[in-house]
This record gives sequence, structure tokens and C-alpha cells, in this order.
Amino acid sequence: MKNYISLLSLIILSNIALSQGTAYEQGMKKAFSLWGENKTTEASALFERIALAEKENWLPYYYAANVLIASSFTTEDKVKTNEMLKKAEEHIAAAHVASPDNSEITTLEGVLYTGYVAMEPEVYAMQYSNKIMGLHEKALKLNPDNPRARFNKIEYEIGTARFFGQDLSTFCDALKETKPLFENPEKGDAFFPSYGVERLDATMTQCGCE
Amino acid sequence: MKLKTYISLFFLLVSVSHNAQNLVSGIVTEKSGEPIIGANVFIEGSYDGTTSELDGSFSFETSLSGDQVLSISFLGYEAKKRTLPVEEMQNLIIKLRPSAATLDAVEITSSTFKAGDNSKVAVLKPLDMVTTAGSMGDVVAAIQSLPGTQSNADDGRLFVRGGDARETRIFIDGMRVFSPYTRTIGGTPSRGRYSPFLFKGVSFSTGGYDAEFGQALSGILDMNTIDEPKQTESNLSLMTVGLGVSHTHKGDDSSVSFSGSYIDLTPYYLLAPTRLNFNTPFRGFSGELVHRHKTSKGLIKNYIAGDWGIVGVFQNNLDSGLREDVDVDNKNIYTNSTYNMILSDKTSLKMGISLGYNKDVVEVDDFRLQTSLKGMHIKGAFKRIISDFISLSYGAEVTWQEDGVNKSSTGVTFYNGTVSRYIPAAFTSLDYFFSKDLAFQLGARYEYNSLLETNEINPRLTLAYKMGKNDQISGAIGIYNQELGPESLQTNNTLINEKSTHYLINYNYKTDKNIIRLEGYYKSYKDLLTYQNIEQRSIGNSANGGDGAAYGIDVFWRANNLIKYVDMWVSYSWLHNERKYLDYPDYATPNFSTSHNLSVVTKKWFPKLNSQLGVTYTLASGRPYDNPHTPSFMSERSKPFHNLSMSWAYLITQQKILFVSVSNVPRIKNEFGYRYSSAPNADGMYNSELIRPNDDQFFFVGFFITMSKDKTKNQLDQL
Repeated sequence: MKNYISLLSLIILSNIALSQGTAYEQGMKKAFSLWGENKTTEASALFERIALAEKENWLPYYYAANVLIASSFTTEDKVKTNEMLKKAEEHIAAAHVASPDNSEITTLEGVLYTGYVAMEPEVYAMQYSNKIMGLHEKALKLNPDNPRARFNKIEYEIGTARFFGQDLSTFCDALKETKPLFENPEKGDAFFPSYGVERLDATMTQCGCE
Repeated sequence: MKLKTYISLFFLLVSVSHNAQNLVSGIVTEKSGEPIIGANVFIEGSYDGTTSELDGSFSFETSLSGDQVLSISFLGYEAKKRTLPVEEMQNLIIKLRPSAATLDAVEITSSTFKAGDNSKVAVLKPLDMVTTAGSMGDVVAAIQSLPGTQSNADDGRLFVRGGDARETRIFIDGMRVFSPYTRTIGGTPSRGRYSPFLFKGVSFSTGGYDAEFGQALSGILDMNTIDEPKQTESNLSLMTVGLGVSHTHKGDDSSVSFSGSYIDLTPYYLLAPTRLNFNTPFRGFSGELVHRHKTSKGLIKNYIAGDWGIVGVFQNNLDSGLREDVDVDNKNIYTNSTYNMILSDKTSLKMGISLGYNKDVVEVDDFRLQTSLKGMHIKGAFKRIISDFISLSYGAEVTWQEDGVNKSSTGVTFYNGTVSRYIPAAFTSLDYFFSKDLAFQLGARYEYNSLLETNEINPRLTLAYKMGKNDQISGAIGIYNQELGPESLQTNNTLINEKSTHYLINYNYKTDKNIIRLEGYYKSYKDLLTYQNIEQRSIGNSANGGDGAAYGIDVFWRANNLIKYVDMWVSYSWLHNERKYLDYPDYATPNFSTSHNLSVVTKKWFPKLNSQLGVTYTLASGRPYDNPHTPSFMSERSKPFHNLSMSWAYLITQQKILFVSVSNVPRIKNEFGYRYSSAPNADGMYNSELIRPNDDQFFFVGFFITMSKDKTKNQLDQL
């Protein structure tokens, strides 16, 4: 009798675990596909819902922030942009709590502040430039092989060089060195960040690299 | 058999729970009924939720039942949570209200000009403090390009809306600075003592400031130091007036910066003409040290600055007709420590202490005047966010100050006095938002003065209403008081504080490309100091017998990138100012007060040349002065003052910058009126002298080098 009960509870528990696992995966997949369809509000809302249900997992917070940051770069309205970035800041803070000293979250935080600089360079460039570089550097300290941290850092330097009208081809070597790192994504959660190589390729073209 | 029963029971349970889907539905709207599209609606702790549709409606299924928390949120709106049984979560009508914490909410501190990182209220950008042509790296000079200030080119200090320089108090990180200006003589303008490179922004209020600030009748300038330096780097500056070095070391949680400079105008005046007859052209050392440390809860900043300078000139005494040798020696130390901490989501605490010591020795031939000041300021203030719509600030502070004077002649002291007093104060203010568009701030400040034994209660009120997306209107009323200068306190302590009342109304329009501000104000004064001149350098019968009023209009327009790469702003102030104070026989406009002030600042970036050109034009109408040959008092006006300054910053490489700046490019002959002898000469006439700037033109060439690991950084932001 006891055995049966244990067996039963085992079945129930694994069933619950399994169903939660799939719900997580389904939810994440759904959110990514919404993002792919450019439904950023829905995508970010869904990532946020998943994050609130899976408080221990940094990935949904990471993507909830990521969606907002990415779309802030294409939003014209400053009030709206500012709200998106503020919200992204909250998600990043929550992601840091779920996973302290995480290289991916740290470099994304750098991109978040780049969003402010892009919104109003005259106001934020001086204030945040070094913070941004510092965050990317910290991300590289945490994981020297994080391709996104490397690329984000180079990309910000390119932005500065472009402002001063300097030769961008000097960045080609650094970009080239970064590319292979994208090819060996970290193992772990299926949703672990692995994106970015397309942006790197596009940037190489812009800089006139071969 | 039994096992089977259990298993079927289990599947039954599972399928039951799967079948028991509840529908959650409703609509999300604004107060007005306008649908909100894209709001995030979900049951907390579950995956069950959706975003609202084009008509604001939402519906989703959930397997949960019983009491659950439904959360509804949308960017820029106050989030809502509702706890109720899932079965009742149908056809809900949820109204969200715009959050007052959003960027486009009404702004309460309307009368304050900010420079810095807060794009909501900033009219100047951090760079502007240092790249304004003609400001020569002086924060105070850059602030003088804003309306509400009267430019006095031969003084250099801040004069706000008809008040004298003493009526504007200067703070660093909210802590009092006791002697903010360098000591000069003979019509050489003073400068702010503190390097603009240390500050990330300033907040400058020309009236109606809140209850946290006291002991100022006219204005407040609060300068905020940088929280986090950029990187580990060293800088070297070679200038026509001296040289400077600085180094910053940045660690993970803390950083240290020091800077030192030596300024000596001797070589400059070997080349450049001047009207001053120098005995010793200005020279001096200054040094600053900043330490910042991040703790788990907040940020500690320690700041210490010291400087020493001497200058000596020969000038004519209009009474004796003789040449006098005037020498000044100034020593100053200032230090402050602040700790800003976050106590919880809703509560923050800032506290700090500042200490200042200043000693001036002025020698005129055999006469020696030594003045000293010791000051201390301790403050603690809490801010509590009660909701998105209400926040409360409260705190207390105490200021202690001791002023000493020693007058001697040929080594024999004939006057020696010190006066010290405590001024404890408490302050509180409440920010209340009726909605995103309408808000008020109500505050009060209490002060006691241990020397005068006075109690003051100063109420302050600001109302603000946002009329449209880009414009708002606000009004403020407040009562302010300030103790008299140390000279009067030393001789007579039956005096009371001077008082002013501010009334102002402000219109503010802001888009990405344009900022327009119009402000009208009326400021009345009472209990101003009056005295009689007994003999030269001595006064008597001091009393609080004076009063007066200043009113006027300030206009500010800033255009960013209206023309590509061009940034400009225009400030105009009209001021009517009359008061009866000091030894005035009648109501008159004081000498430092000019009716019309205009400044036009433009900057253009030339990307191909890697250069920034700055052009600043300032105009001040004639300054009042008193001609003792006429019966009426202060009735004469000098010629208007014009200045056109230009600067050129050239980025040789990203780490090497050449900077050239020239004031008064057209070499206009400016005048500040006449000065007269204190008594008539043998012919019954007063000896007079035309007051002119010491230098018609000033030029500055600097070469700045940055050394850092990261070669892309430079000092451009320091120019």
C-alpha cells in the first residue's frame, strides 16, 4: 500500500514537473514567435508573465528586457522610449537577482544604457559612455568567451569612432576574432542566448571588412 | 485491484482539473473609457494571461480556481491588482490611470534650471557647463547665460533677480559651500572655486525653491558631483595661464580622483596689455581630492578642496590722490561628505556634512584687514514615496558659522571681533499629484538663529498644471529669510533676519528641438539692513529699516539641432528693482542691477574639421551709479555693456585637444560708470574716475592631453 502511494505521488510529481516544463517551453516558444512577428508588446508581456511565474529563472526576465531594449532603438517617441527602458531596467535588475554575476545579463545592461544614449546623445553620451564600456568589460571578465559581450563592446566603440569620423576598418580584426565564438554556443537551457552573429556580419560589411 | 483504483482515480483527478477551465474576461480602459491596447493581464504566479486587444478587451482560460490575484499593467500606467475568485473574473472593467512617475507627467520644480542627466527638466546639458564660450571653464560664468541673472563683468559672482551676490547660496551635493568665489581685487572678476569637471550637473533656482533650502533671499545653485568616474586615466593641461594635472583611479566599488593646478598670470601679462598696474599678478595653487565608494545600500562621496592665491596691484586713492599698494592673500579649504542610501523601495535617506575654512588678508599700504570664516553644515533628509501620486520629504539640518575680523594699522590692532552662531532648521514638503497633469508641492521650513534668537517659519507652495503634451504652467509662492552679513552681526545683535517673498508664474514649452520658458515674478523685501556712514570704513546705527521690491520677466529659448550641428540658446531678462537699504538716502536701483540682460550662446560642431566653434554674445543695459554732483541719488547710467566671445576646440587626436578662447573679439570699449571720491576736493568737486574693465580682451590657449588605457577617450567633454 505504502509503495503504491509513493509510486502515485512520484507519478503526480513528475507529471506536474513535466507539465510545467512544457508550459515553460511552450510559453517561451510562443513569446519568441510573437517577437518574430514584431508583436513586441505581446512578446514582452508574455516573457514578463513567464518570468513572474518562474522567478528563479533569469532567462524570461532577460528576454523581457531584451525585447524592450531592441524596440526602444526603433521607437521615435521619447516618452515611450524612456518608459520602455525604465521597464527593461526593472527586468534586468530582477534577472541579476535570479542569476548574479551573469555575463549575458551584464552585457545586456550595457546595451540598455546604449538605448538611453541613442535616445538623447547630448544628454546621456557623456554620462553613460564609460558605464556602458565598464559593463561590457565586466561581462567579459565574467566570461571572456561571451561573443555578445565582445561584440557589444566593439559596436559601442564603432559608434564613438563614427561620431568622430574615424576609419572603421581598424575594428575588422576584433570583429573577425569574435565571429568563431558565436559558433560554439554555451550548452544548458535551450533558450540560452545564442543570437547575434547576423548583427556582427552586418557590422563587418558596414566597416568595410572583407 | 487497489492499484488500478488509485490510478484511475489519479487520471480522473487530472482530467477533472484539465477540464475545469475558467474563462477570465473583461476590458482595460483609461479613466475616460478610452481602451488601452496591449496591457498585460494575467493571474499572478501562473502562465495564464494575455494582452488586451485593439478595443481593450481581453479573455483567456485558466485551470486555476478560487481566490487568485489578477494583475493588470501597462507602460506608463499605474499597475493594478485585484484579488477575487477566478469564477468571478468575467466581464471585468479595469480602469488604469496614468502613472505620475512617468516622463511626461507634470513637473513641480518649474522655476529651476537644471543642467545634467535628467532630460525631463534639464535645459542645459552637462557639456554646456564647460563648452560655453566666454565661461572659461567657470560653472558660475556658464550659469550667467541663463535668464534671471544680471551679468556684472567686473564682479563675476551670481546676481539673481535684483538680489546682491550674497542672496544666492551655493551648495555642493546639497551641502553648503561657505566661500564659493575666489578673492580678487581691483575689478577683476571672481570665479567659482570649484572645477567644472567634477560635476555631472547643476540645479539653479531663481525663485520659489523648496523647503530644503534656506538662508537665501534670491537664489540657489546646487552642484552635483559625478557619482562614478569614467575610467582610470591621467590628464595634463598646459595653458597660457598655468598648468594642471589630474589622475583618476577607478576600482570596482570605489574610485579616487585628484587634481592640482598652478596658475600664474605673470607670463600672460608680459604679453597682454592691462589697465591694472600689477604689483603681483595673480598666482596660486589649488587641489581637489574626491573619493567615492559604493556600498550595498548606497553611495558615499568624500570631497576635499583647498586653494591658496595671492595678487597685488597699485591703484589710485581718489581721496588722497596717492598711489596705494593693495595686496590680497587668500587661503581656503572646503570638505564635504555625503551618504545617499536606499532604505527600502519607497524610502531613501541622504545625509551629509560640510566644513569650510577661509582666510583673507587684504593689505592697503599700512592698513591690514584680516577676515576669517569657519563653517559647518550637517544635514539629513528622508524621502518617502507613499504612492505613485504622493511623496513626502522631511529632514533637519544645522549650520554653524564663525566670522572673525581683525583690522590693524602699522601692526597695531584697532578692531578685533568674532561672531558665531548656530542655525538649526527643520523642513518638510509634500508632493501631491491629483493626476498626471495637476500637482502641488506644499512645504514649510523652520529656522532658529542662536545669535539673534529669532524663530522663522517659511511656508512654500508650488502648483503645476500640464496643459498639453509639451507645455505646462506653474505658479509658486514662498517666504524666505537670510541672516545679515557678518559685519553687521559683529557690531549689533539686536538685528533680525532679512526677508523676501517670492511670487512667480511660469510657462514651459518643451519638444525635442525647442525649449521655451517664460517667467514673470514679483519679489518683495523687508527688514533689509540700513546704516549710516560715520566715517570711512566704519558704519553705525545699523537697523532692519530697509525694504524694496524687484519684478520682471525672464525668457529662455533653446534650439537643439534646428540647424544641423548647431546648438543655441537665448536668454533675456527684464528687471525692475528698487530698494532702500544700506546707506541709501532714498529708494533706488542698486549698482549691480541692470534692467535688460541678453545672452545668446551658440555652438557648432564641424565633423570634417573635428572642431567645435562656440560664440557667445552678452548685452547688459547701463549700470546705475551715483554722481554726487547731481541732487538725485543713483540716477546716472553707464553705457550698455557688450561682449562677444569665441572659442575653438580642435581635436587633434582623440587624446589631444587644442583649445583657444578669446573674449570681446571686436574689442568694444566697455565702461561701468564712474567712481567718486568720498569727499569733495578744495574746489568743491568730487574727484572722479571712469571705471573700465581691467582687460579689454582676454585670450586663452590650452593644450589638453589624456592618458588612459583606452585610447578613444579624450577631454573634449572638459572644454
